[in-house]
Amino acid sequence: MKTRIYIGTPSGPVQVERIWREEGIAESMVCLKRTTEIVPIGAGYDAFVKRPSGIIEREFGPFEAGAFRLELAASINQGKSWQLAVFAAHALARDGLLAGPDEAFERALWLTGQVDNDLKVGGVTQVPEKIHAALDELDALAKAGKQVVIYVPEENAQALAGASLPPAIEAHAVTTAANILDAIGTSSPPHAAATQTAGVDRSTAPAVDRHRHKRAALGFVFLILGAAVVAAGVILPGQLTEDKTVPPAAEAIQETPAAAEPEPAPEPEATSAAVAPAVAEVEPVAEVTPPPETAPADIASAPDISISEVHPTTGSGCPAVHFGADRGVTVEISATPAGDFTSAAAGDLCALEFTLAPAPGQPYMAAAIELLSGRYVANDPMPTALRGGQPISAPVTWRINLPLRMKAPFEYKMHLVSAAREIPGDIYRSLKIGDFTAADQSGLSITTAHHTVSP
Amino acid sequence: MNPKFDPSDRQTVENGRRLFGAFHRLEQLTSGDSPHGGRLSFARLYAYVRESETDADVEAALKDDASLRADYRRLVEKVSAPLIPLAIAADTGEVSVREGVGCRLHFVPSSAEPSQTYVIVEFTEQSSAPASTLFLCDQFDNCRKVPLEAARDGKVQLLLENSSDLLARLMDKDTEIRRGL
Repeated sequence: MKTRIYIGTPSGPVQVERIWREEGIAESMVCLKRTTEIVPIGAGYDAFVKRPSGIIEREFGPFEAGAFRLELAASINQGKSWQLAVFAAHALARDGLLAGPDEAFERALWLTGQVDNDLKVGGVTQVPEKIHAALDELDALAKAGKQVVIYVPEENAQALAGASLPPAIEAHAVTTAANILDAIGTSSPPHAAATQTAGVDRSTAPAVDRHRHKRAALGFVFLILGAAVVAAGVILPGQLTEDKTVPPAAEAIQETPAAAEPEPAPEPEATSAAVAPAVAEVEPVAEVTPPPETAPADIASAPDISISEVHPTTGSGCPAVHFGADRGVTVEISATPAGDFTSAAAGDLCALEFTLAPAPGQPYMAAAIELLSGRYVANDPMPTALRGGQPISAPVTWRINLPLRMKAPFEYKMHLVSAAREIPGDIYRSLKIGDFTAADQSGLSITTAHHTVSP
Repeated sequence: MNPKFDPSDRQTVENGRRLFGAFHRLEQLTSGDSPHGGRLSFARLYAYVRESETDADVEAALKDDASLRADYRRLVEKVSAPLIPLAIAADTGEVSVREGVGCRLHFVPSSAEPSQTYVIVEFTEQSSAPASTLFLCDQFDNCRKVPLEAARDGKVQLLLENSSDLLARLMDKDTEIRRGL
C-alpha cells in the first residue's frame, strides 16, 4: 500500500518526500524538498543511518557505497523525534511503498519518537502540541478516504488519550521500531526482509538486487559443489537420513550470506514483544492531563559566562597587550543586581576575556557576540570549539581587544548555548543576530550576558 | 624607576618616533571607525577575514572597490594557506577531482537531482585540523569566502546547483583555493 510518512513537529507535520541512495558521496544528508538547502538535522540523520552506530544501514542494508539523500517537505532544526518516522520511511522506501508528494497513496502515517540501537522507541517532548498541530491536515486526509494512523512512543501514550482524535484516525503507542513494521504491513523482520523479492524502490534496488544475485550465484555454486561431492562418493547417499530433505535452493541462498556477514543479533528482552505488547492500543481516557514534558536541556543548568577585564601590567600598555607581548592582568567582573555587566575603559582597559563553560552533560557550545554599539577587534578569531561542532571537556577562553581610544560606549550581548549534541550551523548564525527562535525551539540551554563598556 | 628621556640621544629619539608611529597606526587600525570617504575600516575587514561568517556589507564594498579588494587579497594571504594552488590543475577538461595540499576535492553529480552536484572536501593530512573557511581567489583579487560546516571524519560535504557560481569557482582550474588558518 502506497503510504505517506509524516514526522510530527510542533510546527505541523513534515512529510518525508523521498529517500534516494546517492553513490559516491561521503555522508547522508537531509534536503529541503529537491533543493540544495540542507536541513540542520542532517548530521543526526547521518549518524542514525551509518554503520556501525546507525541502524538504517544495519537493518535495511547492504547498500552500494555512498549515502542517503532524504528529502523533507519542511525544515526540522533539532532533536531526535524524527527517527521513528524516518525508520518507517526507509522500510517503505525499501519496498517501493513510500509515497512522494505528487504520488497517489492510500495511507498516511504520522509518527514521533526516538529509536535507539536496539530499536526500542523512546519518549519525546511536546507530543500533545505536535498532535494538535497535525490534526487538521490528518483529519482532512481521513475525510478524503485515506487511512490515517498515528504512532507515538509508549512513554507518551497519555498524549493520545488527551488528544480528542476524530474516530477516523487510528492511534497507537509503540515500544519498538521493529514491530511497527508488522503494524504498517511491511514485510517481516527488516534485515531478513532485505533478501525477499518484494518490489524495491529503485533508489535502493540496485544494491539489494546485486547482493541478492551474488548470494544466488554463491548458493548455486554450493549446490553444484554439493552434488559433485555426493557424486564423487565422499558423502554416501545412504548417510543422509530419510527424513532429512535436501534443502531447497532458496534456503541455501538465504543461508549463504549468514556466514559471510553475520547478522546483527536481535536480542529479545524480557519486555519485548513476547511479553509486553509492542503495539499497544490506547483507550481514550476522558480526564487525562498529560504531564508537562520537559526536555533534558531544560532540566540541566545553563552554560556559564565569566567576563574579565584585561589591564596592562605595570610599565606596559594596551598595544603590548593587544599584540601579545604582555598577557596583562585579568580582573573578573561581577554582574550588577540587575544582571548586567558594566566597565569603564578609563584608559587602561585593553581587552575583555571570556571564560565559557558548558552546562553539565552538554559538551557542545556555540557562542556569539551581538554588537549593540561601538567596536571591538578579534585579533584571535573565536575558537572553533565555540561554534557548536565539537565537544569540549573544559572551559574555553577567548579575548577581544578594545579600541585604544573609545569614542562611544561599547555595548554587546554575549550569547552562549550548550547542548548534548552538535549544534547546527544555522542556530549558531542566528545567535549572532540575537535570534533565539531556533535555539529555543530546539530546547537548548542559553545564557546571555549584557555588558557595557563606557569610554 | 622611570626611564629618563634624553632629547640629545638620537637613538632614543628615533626609537620614540617609531613607537609613537606604531601606536598611532595601531589606534587607527583598531578604532573601527570608517576612514574618510566611507571606506570600510580595516578592523571590519580583518574581522570579516578571520570570522567564518559572511557580511553582506563587506562583500558589497569589496565588489565595488578594487583597492579594497587588493587589501583584502593581501590580508587573505596572511591569514590563510594554499589548499589548491594554481600550480596544481587537473589534466582533463572534465574535472571530477582536484588534488590539493593536504586535501582533495571530489565532485559527484547527484543521481537524484541531475541539476545538482555534491562537493566533498576531504582533508587528507591528519596533522592539520579541517578548515572552517575556504577562500576562492581569482586573478582579479576576488576572493570569495566560503564558510564550511564542521568536518565529519575529515570530510565536509556541500550540495550545489550545477549553475552556481560557487561550483564554477571550485571547479575552475584558474581559481586558487586557500584555507583559513
